[in-house]
Amino acid sequence: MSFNPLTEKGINLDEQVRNWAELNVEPYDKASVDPYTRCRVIAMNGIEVEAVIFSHQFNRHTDVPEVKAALAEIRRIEQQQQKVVNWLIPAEESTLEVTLGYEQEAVDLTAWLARSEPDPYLRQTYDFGLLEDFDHLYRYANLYELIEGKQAEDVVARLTEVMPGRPTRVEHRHPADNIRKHYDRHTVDPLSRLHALTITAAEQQTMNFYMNIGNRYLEPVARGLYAEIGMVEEEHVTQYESMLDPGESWFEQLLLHEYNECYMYHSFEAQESDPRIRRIWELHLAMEIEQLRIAADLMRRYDGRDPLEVLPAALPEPVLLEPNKQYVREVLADQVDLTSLGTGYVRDAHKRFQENLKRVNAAGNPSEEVIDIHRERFGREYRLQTEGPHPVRELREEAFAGQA
Amino acid sequence: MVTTAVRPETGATIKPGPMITVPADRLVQDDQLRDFAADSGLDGPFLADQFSAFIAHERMGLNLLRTLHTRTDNPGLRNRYAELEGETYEAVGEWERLIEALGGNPQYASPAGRATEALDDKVTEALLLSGSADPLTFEQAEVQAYLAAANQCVAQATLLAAFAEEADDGQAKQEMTASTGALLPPARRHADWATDTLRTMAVAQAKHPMVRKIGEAAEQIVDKVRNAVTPG
Repeated sequence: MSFNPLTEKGINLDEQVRNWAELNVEPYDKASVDPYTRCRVIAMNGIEVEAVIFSHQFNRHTDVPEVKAALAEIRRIEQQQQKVVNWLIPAEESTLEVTLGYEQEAVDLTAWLARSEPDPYLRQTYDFGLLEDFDHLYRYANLYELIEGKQAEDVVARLTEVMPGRPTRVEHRHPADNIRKHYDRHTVDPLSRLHALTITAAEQQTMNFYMNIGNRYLEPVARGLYAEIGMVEEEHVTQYESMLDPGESWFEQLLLHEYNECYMYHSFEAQESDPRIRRIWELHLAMEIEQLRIAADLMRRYDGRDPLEVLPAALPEPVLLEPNKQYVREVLADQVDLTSLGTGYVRDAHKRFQENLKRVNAAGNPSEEVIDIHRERFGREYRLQTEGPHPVRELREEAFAGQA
Repeated sequence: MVTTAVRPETGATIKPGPMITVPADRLVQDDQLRDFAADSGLDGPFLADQFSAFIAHERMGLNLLRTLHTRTDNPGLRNRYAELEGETYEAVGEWERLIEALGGNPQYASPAGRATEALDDKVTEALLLSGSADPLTFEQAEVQAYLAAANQCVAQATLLAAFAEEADDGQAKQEMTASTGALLPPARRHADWATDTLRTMAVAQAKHPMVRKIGEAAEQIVDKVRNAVTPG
């Protein structure tokens, strides 16, 4: 059934404010949580963080008191929503376990966005990033067993496979090769617009997370791995935010952020298996509906535009977190050797790419060291291949073992 | 009914610049624009791009007038902005009619159109600094914003006249000539009105300091109202 948040009744902004006890929610149970519930929590935390950061940027570009006050009021609520969402993650979950959750979310969210993306170029961009986050999951899974002596299957279940993607050591492109083309606001399919906002928020949160927690480990290989993958996340944010049309006005962007939050909460409440967390998604959806209404009013007044000229008549098909094993395998088989040149994708290891790799990989790669150390200690790598051998012969474990 | 915002639902198409991706079914290339104003002897793709920019500016003018209408505290200006909105709406309709008559698509967004929209967006965005201005200064800035937009309309209609003059005799020339007659006089009136209004506002303040004091008093009242409706 179609759902149009512009015609739904939300919760008055004054009634959205929660006290400290309400913000300090009971975390989920690490032992029994559905891995995709964890992914939804991670995704919505990223969406809320983006809402806050965008609003702060907007606030720095206006001195209209009414606009600043409205932004501040909504932002306070977004901050509270972020606390409620992110505080669902329990302290019992180690930093590496949360990291595995981040990468599982990156893989299955990106794969779903790619599968449903109507624009072929944007779809290619998702596929390109997908193989890199897929590889990060494998590297962190090996680090996890090295440091904590546990297996990533305990975190990701058997929903997402763990094996090499595009090797992290060849993901380090020259910054000029991480920019991408953007959609055009006149012709863009509404789904493409929402997808771009979602992936930008998700990858930005991953980037920020690694920026902050990468130094929490004693082991040099762990610190090195977070630093190396953290730099790839910088590339990913550059890539994904480039997809947004820079011609969108501040109010258009605000409206789209609020609409996308409605879309994501609406998507997730429909599939959430944990009843308590589903109630949080429902509550936040009702809050976002009112925030969207306020954004729409601001747009009418300060942009002179009708939100109906920007938004679709109803929310698109919901975003779904589900296994994408076959899809990932197909993309791996077809695109593992891709890199980029400017805004395009190439198989050619061009000069700028090679020079950058030579420079940053000069003293080796933590992403390779972690596998070498793991192999040394356990006599094998950590992989979780539920669907058979790796689709790329050169990335099968025996191929690496042969090299050693 | 005219289109005030080009989007997929209205049948938007685009000739993308190098940094834009567009689905194949929305893509327009120069070859498809060769027949635009075919009997004019002028370059069809160039004209199509120009006219896309012209109509984009009129549409953006509607947005500007809507925000001026809702934001001004001056009842006289509010009424005038509403009138101008109606006349601009008619101008959008005239551009749509002309583009269709020349064999084009009013839903086509050209690179020139995107550039025009970006410029016009920044004019509207400039009004987001109204917190730095007293009410009279802000009213003046609003009229200046409209004057910039109106002058651009005059420039566009004048260009249209030039295209008509240079065109070979035929249907396209007739259409462009007729549209010039419909678009140029009101555009000139609008620019003249904005110029006159600016002069009146500025000279009144220069000659009669009391006008400014009244303005300051109005500002205090506005602040009180603002504080009453803005929490915290």
